Amino acid sequence: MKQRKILSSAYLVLVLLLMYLPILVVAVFSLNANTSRFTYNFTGFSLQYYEGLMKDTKGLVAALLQSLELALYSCLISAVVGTLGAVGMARRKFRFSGAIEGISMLPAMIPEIILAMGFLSIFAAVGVPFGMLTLLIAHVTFCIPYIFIVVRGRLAGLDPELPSAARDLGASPVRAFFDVTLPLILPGIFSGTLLAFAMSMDDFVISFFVTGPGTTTLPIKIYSSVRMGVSLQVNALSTMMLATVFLVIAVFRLVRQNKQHKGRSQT
Amino acid sequence: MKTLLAWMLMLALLIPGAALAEGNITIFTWEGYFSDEILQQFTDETGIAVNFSPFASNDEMLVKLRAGGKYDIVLASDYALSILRTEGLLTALDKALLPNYANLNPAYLNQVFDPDGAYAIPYAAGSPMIVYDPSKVEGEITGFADLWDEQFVDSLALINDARVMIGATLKSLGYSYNTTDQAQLDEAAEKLKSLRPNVRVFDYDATYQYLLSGEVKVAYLFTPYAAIAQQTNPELKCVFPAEGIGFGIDAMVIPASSENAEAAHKFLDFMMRPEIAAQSAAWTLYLNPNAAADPLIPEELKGYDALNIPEDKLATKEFVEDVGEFEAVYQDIWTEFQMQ
Amino acid sequence: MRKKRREGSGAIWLVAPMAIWTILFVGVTLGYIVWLSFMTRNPDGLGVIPKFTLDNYLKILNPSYGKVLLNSLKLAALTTGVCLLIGYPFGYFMARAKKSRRSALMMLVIVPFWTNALVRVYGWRMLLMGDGPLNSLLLSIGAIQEPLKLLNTFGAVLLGMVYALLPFVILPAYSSIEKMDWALVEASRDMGASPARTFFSITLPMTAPGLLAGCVLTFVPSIGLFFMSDLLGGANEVFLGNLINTQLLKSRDWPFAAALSVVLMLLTSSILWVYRRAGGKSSDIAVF
Repeated sequence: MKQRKILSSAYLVLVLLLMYLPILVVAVFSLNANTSRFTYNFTGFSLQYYEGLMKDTKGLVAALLQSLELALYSCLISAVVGTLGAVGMARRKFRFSGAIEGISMLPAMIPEIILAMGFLSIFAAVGVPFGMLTLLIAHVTFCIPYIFIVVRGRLAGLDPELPSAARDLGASPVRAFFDVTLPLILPGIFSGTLLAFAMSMDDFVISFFVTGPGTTTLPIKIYSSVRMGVSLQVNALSTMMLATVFLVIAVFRLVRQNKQHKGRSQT
Repeated sequence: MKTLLAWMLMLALLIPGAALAEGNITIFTWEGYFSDEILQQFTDETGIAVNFSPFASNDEMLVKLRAGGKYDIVLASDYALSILRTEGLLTALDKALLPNYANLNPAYLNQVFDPDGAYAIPYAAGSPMIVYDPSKVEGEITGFADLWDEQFVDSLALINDARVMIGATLKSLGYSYNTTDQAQLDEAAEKLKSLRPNVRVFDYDATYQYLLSGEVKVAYLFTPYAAIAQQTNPELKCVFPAEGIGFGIDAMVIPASSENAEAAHKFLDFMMRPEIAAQSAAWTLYLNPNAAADPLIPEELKGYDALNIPEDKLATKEFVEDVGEFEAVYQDIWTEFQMQ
Repeated sequence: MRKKRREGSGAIWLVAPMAIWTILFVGVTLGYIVWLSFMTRNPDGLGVIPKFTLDNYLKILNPSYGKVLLNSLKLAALTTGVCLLIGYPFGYFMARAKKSRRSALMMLVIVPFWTNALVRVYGWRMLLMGDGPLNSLLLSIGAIQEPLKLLNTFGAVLLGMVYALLPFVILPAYSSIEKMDWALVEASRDMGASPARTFFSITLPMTAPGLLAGCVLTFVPSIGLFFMSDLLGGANEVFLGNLINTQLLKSRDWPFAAALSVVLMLLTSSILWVYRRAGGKSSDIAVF
């Protein structure tokens, strides 16, 4: 038994190490003293790139904020639309349910560039100005399926009698939804949104083709650095972003553990 | 929920509006192609804010511009600008607003892509070179033809661009870079196929890294990368191919869709100042097309072979030009070549 | 009776936003792409002539393009296989770990998603370069005499693909194994079956949904991913994504690129259809 425990722990650690290896490299290289724009060999330790980030107002940080803003709005809209759609389709079997579900998932199944060209052509034909609006439309379109599928899966595992029970006890349909259904599917909405958020933050192909002058997201900036080399400042930024995420999660868990302890001591 | 949605919609509509405020220009080009210091200096002097919109390739730029993208300055490669010109997507320059135009080196003006010099201001120019590590190579390399040698099996790094490499092959056969003669193209395709075993990597921007790390013995590099390679490892030899050199100019133009042409002209004039042009050349590590800036170029740059093309070689230069529907033929040849 | 009607009639308003959005933005866009695939390319190279043709689809029958498709399928299949080999055991051990550890492990698996994908691939490049840290380390301890040529190989591309898609096997496998009824496994061991026998006749079949979901979630994106080959493989092979890119941007043959994309769409749709037929449920794919 103990042997197996060691084996399983060792395997988990090994795979995790491999998963974090490039991230480690990125973090270490962000501390590179090398000032050259074109060569990356390690010449010593320095915080120059982090300092550069602090002073940076027009570049990477601005692009990051743009990406965050876009991802936030996209996720909000797609979470609402996707959740409502999932709830609606669970409530009544529409004939077109399968078709809508199928079509909404298609963007995930074709290369992004052709979708990007499609959006570009449609927007150009209709005359919509390229910019935040078109970005938003495009991102919401590919985010909806992630949330829809997850919430639907969650709903499928739900006891259908619960909302009915609420209705029997006199609650209005709206009240039944918000007080009974919503809390139960919230974890699903949350994880679907997290995934959609990551997808939105990472997208460069579709974003590039539907964005307008003056609106640059982080992935577009990184992807367009090909000619002059990807600045090591990008490494510093990525490391900082990761560190922030870990910090937020750690705080989250501490708060939750605290609540649980409090709850236990109160009972 | 409702107020949140309302706020979001309002904000979403406000943001594009903010970008079109008075006194700012939007530049469309590769990330990092302009030094931030120079852009900041321009804003400090004129009060005109500079928005930067990046693209990753000329082809992507063409798609965006054709779809009606609004930019004030576009900096791209000659053949792409030529396409914009023939499609009427450019604004003719008002030379009266560009007193510094006289600073430019006439050798870079009125070229194939802008025959009357009415649209483009050259920013950077270059010619790809063969760069190799003499300690790993027997004999000397003088031109494209040498790359087919057996000693280079799995040791070449080529530029991942159909026109550049097929052009090089055509040159080695004595043909033009831009031929539309099917027979010549077929011959080039055959010759190219025999080169395949020698190629280890195709890359566009990081080709020099493989040469420096020792993974390949020979690389075909664009000007700035050849300069970097030589700077990092002075033992490397840089050669302009004997069969004739390819040449390219990246230039700035004002698209017809620009809504602030006046400010755009101010920017162009600013960039043509000798000290600014010299700074740009030091930043991009490409050839400097501004004659008045020549004396101001840092000494160090004069030591790189890539930045000093001999006159006799310059005379053989050929640009990559748009070949209309034959572009697809070139691309197909390249795809087949890569797939082997 | 009244309650049912009330519930049913409300539902249409819930579904409406999604239905309208999907038809408007996905339906119209994809419809455009399909329409494009039947149009003729304008010989001037700009845009299309509205003339119906099947040439674009016939062009795909060209052996070199067929080779590209096969290449992509091969890479996708290998990626899926390796992901399963590495990811399934990981999901298994994760599901068997202490309850407190499981959410931590889950976080550790998902968080890398939050760094930009390009940056992570560049991370691999920096690591595997001829003069990078890995080679320097191996050289300094004398394990090798000359730097290993790790980049610009098919292996490097596979590594990048597996790296990017591993979580898509780990999570469904974990989800499936966690839900499993372990009493059955214990019963089988009690009755004298070896661990291996138990695994193959009990565990594996019961966690098949997770395995299947993992396959689909890895295979489908693999076919379309292309920048792995450019960044790690030295662009030594041409995949479907590269081809579509080239045709769209360089050859400016939009109709042909559209046709290739339609074929890809049909391919992945049919994979999903097979998955559904094999008993896969949407809830298994929704493992996040």
